[in-house]
Amino acid sequence: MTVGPALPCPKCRRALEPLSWRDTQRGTCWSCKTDFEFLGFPALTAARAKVVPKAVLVAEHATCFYHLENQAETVCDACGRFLCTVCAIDFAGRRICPPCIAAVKKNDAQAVSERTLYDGIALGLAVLPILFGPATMVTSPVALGFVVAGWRKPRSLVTAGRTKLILAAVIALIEIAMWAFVLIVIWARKK
Amino acid sequence: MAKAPRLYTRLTRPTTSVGSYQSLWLAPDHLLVVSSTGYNEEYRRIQFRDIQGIFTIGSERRLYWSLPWAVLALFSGLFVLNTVYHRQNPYVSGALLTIAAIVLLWNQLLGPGCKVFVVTGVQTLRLPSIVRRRKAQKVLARLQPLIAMEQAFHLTPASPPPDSPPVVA
Repeated sequence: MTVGPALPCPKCRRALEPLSWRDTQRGTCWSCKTDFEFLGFPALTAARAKVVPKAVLVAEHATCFYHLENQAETVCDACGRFLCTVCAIDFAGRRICPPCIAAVKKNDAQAVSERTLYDGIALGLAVLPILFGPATMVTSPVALGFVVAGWRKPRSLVTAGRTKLILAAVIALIEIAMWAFVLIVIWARKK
Repeated sequence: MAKAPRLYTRLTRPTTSVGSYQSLWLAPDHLLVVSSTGYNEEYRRIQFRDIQGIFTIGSERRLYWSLPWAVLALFSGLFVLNTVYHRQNPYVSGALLTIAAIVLLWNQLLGPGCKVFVVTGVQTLRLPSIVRRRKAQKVLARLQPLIAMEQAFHLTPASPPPDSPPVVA
């Protein structure tokens, strides 16, 4: 008797036996004895629509840029090329062709896969070396450099403010001012 | 210039693991798992339309977090007793006992631990930022209608069958 779907156990990755399920929402893996709760969605049972391109039958049909034997069904939202249903990919809310995905991934907030956090680096360089004292003579100008470099760079997708950059700049400027003061005092005493 | 609307809403606070911390964010049509080192962020998206189900299993997180703090509370408690017995003021051990007691209490209040896994057609992916059952219930209650609505929209058959033989290059 199959109560629940034939899915892998999330802990041991072995396929759940039909008898693992107490009802459609609860069960125990027979292999690793882990109790689990499951919340199912329609995608578990629904058949996804197959992507089937239309063949070119008459010469007047517009053809796909990548597949000359397929009818064009849409236009790439990024580069404007004609695309068949195989090539038109729903990506980040647009229909684009595979070569455009790489370009979109770099800039689109809904597609980018990683970001360098210049604000985190600048703040780390401004604050952490304080523990080692003299190191700030080198790291504070570097931190300021990261503030300048990162000011117009894309920031975190989820916490996109400039607070950390501003804080890093203030701390780095204070450190630079302190070092300048110390060096001037030393120079003045030598004179 | 008008400020761009924020795409993501926070679902969970960052949870620390070795060398990085993870958090979970909500967009109109997908979940975003953010893994950050403080200097770099990595993003993984789980589209609502791809989610087949969500597994929740229990974990011993509450016990593991309780043990070291219970040991600290025990030893600092013994030091407090010893200091009081010798008619001195237990400032340091008293402070340690208070901290340990607060953390222990906080750990108990957070509730039992759990692990949450999202099942899609090609993977079973853990959501590392959901580690307590109460939080998991809250997040799932928020996600369930969104996922169901998205799938109701996308999984209904919309296109008629093709009238010509397919050609796949």
